[in-house]
Amino acid sequence: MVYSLSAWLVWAVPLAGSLVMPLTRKTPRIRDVVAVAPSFIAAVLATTLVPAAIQGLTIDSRIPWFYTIHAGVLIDPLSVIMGIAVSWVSFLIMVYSVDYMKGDEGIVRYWFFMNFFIGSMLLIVFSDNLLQLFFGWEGVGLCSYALIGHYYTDEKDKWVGRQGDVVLGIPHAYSPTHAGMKAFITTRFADLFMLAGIFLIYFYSHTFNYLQLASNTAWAAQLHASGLLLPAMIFLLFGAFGKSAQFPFQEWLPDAMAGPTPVSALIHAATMVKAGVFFVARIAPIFLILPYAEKYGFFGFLAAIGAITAFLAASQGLVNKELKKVLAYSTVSQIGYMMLALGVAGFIPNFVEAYSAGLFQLISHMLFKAGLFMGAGVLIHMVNSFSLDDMGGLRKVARKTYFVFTVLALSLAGMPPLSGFFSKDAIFASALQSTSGLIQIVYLLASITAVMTAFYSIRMVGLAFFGEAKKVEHHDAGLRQFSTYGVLAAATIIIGLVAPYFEDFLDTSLRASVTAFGISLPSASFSIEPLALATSLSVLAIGVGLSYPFYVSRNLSAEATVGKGWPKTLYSFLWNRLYINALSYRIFVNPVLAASLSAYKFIEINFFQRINAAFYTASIDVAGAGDWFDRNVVDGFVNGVGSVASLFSRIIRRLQTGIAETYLFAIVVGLLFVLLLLLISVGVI
Amino acid sequence: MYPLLLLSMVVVLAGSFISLAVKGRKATSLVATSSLLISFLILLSASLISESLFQGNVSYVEVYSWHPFGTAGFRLDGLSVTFALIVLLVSLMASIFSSSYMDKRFKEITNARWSVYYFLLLLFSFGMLGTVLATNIVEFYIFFEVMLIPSYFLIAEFGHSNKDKASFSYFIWTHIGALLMLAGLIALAYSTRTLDIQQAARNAITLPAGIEFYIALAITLGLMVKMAGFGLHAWLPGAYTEAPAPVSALLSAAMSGIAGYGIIRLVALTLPGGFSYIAPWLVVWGLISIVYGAIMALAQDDLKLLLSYSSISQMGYMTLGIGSFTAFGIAGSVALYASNGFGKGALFMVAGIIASLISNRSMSSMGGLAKKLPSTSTFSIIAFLTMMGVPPTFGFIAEFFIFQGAFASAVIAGSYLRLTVALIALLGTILTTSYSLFAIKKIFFGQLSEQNSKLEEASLAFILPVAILCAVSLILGITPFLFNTAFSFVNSSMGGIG
Repeated sequence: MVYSLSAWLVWAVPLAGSLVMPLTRKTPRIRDVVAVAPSFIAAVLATTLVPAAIQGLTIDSRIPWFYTIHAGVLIDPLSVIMGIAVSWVSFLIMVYSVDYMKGDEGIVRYWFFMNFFIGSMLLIVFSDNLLQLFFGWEGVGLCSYALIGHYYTDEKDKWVGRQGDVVLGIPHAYSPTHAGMKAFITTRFADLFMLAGIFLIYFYSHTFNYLQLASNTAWAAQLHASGLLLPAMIFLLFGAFGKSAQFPFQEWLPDAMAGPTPVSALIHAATMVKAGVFFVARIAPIFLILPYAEKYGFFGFLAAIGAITAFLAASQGLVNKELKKVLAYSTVSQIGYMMLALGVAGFIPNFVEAYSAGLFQLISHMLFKAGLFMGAGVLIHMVNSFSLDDMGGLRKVARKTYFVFTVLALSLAGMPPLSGFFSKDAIFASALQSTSGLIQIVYLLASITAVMTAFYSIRMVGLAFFGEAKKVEHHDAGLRQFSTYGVLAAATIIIGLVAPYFEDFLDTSLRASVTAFGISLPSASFSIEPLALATSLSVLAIGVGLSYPFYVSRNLSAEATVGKGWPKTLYSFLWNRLYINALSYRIFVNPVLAASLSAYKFIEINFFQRINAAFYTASIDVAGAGDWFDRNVVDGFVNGVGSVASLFSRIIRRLQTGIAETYLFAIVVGLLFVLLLLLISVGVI
Repeated sequence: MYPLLLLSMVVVLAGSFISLAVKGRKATSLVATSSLLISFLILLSASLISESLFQGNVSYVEVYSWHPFGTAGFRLDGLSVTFALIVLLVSLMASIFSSSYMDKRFKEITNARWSVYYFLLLLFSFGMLGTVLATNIVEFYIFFEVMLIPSYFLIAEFGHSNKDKASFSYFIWTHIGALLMLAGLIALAYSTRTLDIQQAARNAITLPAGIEFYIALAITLGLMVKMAGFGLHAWLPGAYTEAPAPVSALLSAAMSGIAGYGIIRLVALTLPGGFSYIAPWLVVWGLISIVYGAIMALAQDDLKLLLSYSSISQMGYMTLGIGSFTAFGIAGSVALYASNGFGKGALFMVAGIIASLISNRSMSSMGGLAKKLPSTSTFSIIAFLTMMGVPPTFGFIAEFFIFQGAFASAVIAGSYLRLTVALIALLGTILTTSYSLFAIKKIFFGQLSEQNSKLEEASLAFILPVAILCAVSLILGITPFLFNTAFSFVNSSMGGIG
């Protein structure tokens, strides 16, 4: 009971907090406290659920909502672990925002949407059914739209991308409001597929509740019989791919960097893109218990898209010149790993091994990516530029941030003993359990991606902190701001140091979570997977080894290497965002806009409105006499007398014009019908 | 039972004639607004008697003898209650909005009179209310035409520069539609030997399938003109654009969807056999209207034209839901009528606010207005979100169940083709999102132009009606009891096959 109350309040408090924000407009001191408090309360509330997670409880607290649909919260280890991670990281980001957003004139709006964002995400996490989840789902979409477009006046210095870059006729620099719109439209398009999936399932199941869907799978049998099971599953996945910026929906995320940096941290670490992974983790057990081959389609598609996305996005991290964009592509790539792990889970004997590896990666990424963004925000502020070209040599002037940022970047690169190493290793180890050919290809792609990850992590640190010192306009972060990402760096170290225990904890608790959905699992067998360990270490060595001489020690010149021949071709292919962004515009945006203009001109104006006009002229011709009378007599009279033209005379005039005669004719016809009706009915009744 | 429904009708009619008798802005708007408010409260209490509105079984019927047409009266049930409440709510808001908006508008028109304006406005509301409460076929038709005449004069007398042509084609198109409907209604009355709508439904069971089909077709086609289905929509952009903003709000948010009510009441629930042949084509027609309206909206620079074409698209959703012929789809359409009432009603008023401030409807002359008009822009965005069907607005509930219905009917029919149509229609809603977001960006975001730099936020009298509509959309989006009411009524009327 106490648990359920916490689970209801954990998302209701931030949502209520956002509604309070406008009232604090006039009092800045109270305003910032009121803004940060809800996420802190949420974090504490989420933490009170820990005992439930440790006991492996599954509690579904439901109340009637409307029609026969219930609203409810589901407390199980998955939601509790996710809820704790989301709320604490969000709280740190909110604290960081106090300094970062100081003096911003849209601060109330900022706090409103940040709280709404956190509340919506926690609603997703604790929701016990698909419909309520969708409320949170669209809530995060809306907040991302508002926050990415926070600088809504679109000043040139807030744009992302390099001015003047044009690929296939498509400019690659975007204003904040354009970027916000891009995010909202892309994710919403994906959400529509997700809705289609929900409709198909609901039609047969008559419930949105996860546990009910798992306990009675008659709906799946019927969907299977009508051949709609696989489409329904894949449609749901599309929704997750949109939110989590997975192929082919990934292009909105890099441009979402137009928002304030803490927003990026929130989108990448705690909310939005993690929502997709969480949703897949929530529904995957329901599909796993089905006895139909379609489920392999679901898990296979998931693993394949995850691997492809991880690979493609990592390639962008290699070349991008904007610090936040490198981090953004890195997020897309890392989320790919999580999706991949959840996909692998369907192909191995012990589902929960890959499942918990995916969740481990999620938590690990949440810690280091939030920290990296907050550190990046400080660096960007120091040099007053997004571009890595304007940074360099910062290790001397920003010692604290240099140290912490490097630890976080090494965690991203997969350096032992940081958490990033262990989570990636766990994914590799679980993928090796499968004998499926598909998963072997996935494993290969994941390994190559890990090389690129290590490469771009070191490149990022090298370009920002090493080499020639550049002009600096502001100091390193103050203590409060620094402590937020300092804590995250400490967390990535500590979790890394206790990784085996942490993995064990995740495995045990998620096992309880999954078994509540009716899955029986083989008992866990812990063994070190030598091949996975070898892969993890060697990809790290290769990536760092390739990157170090170019960007840290600077013995080799990156510019010279890609200056000619095939490296140049490859470089420009990567630099142009693999042409995916430009092609999306050329296929989905520009043709629709062009078609709308020509359809308006040729179909609407030249056809429908012409018919309309012809009606009008024809009726005037029919009533030509009245029109003549109108023009020569009435107008003369009205003009002559002038001021006498009252409303009364104008109505008279209207009655005398040809147009009005046509109306009268029409009305008379109508009345004749009524008369006819009357005659008939009198006879009838 | 007290004659509450008759009373609510009489109050509106009395208000309209009293406005004729009094003079000036304050007096007329006070009379009009208070009579609409009283009527709304009466109707609300009728629907809340023993909490039936929340439990989903509103039933309040008054029948009076009407020689020689048998009986006539008013029926407030799970279907009509949503329409009646929305008609009065939107009329009330339009009435409040008019008193400040038309004040500016009247300075541009010679010889305009407040008393005539409010007389026509209330008569228009009276016609709409009567149409949705009618129990008798003749009564329905009469009120349907009463709705047309004052609205015609409102456009023709108080409209913008192109009002003559616009009001003319509005009248002709919708009147021809009404005549076609009338032909269908006469045939219905003749063949079922009754003028009572419910009795007609009971008697229609014995009709030969062919006759039932043609009657259903005539009524549906006639009503589709008022609903501006693709092909029959040519009157709409002119009428909505040339009408003064509060009248546009009424036409788009309250009137057009009443045709949808007509199709549900007189066709889907009265002649289900005949309608079952038409329904799949209505789904396709709805799809075409959704996409066509949205594509046209995307091409507009004039804000009011954009909203007009968006109305065609929204009515397409309603058509699609009705065409799904499932309890979910039809109840979703009823919900869409309400959400369109909130969203489009608010947006036409916003268009009025902006036009009154910058004397221009072209979106390219706007930009950056969020800085100067913080409240207007906030409410506009909520209203646009209602149109887009983003939770927690009521628009989401409406679209969710319309499409749940569309998918359900396709799966029941076991047709992959119909499933594809439903999927395309669902994906087509991305166009609504697109034109809405483009409009928001063009109007409110970006740099403020030189001549708009001295703008000031509109007064409370302008913003209040918009704010109320947005608030209702949000509250109902979280506690969607209007959907329950419509659903349980439609579900039981259809024999629970939804």
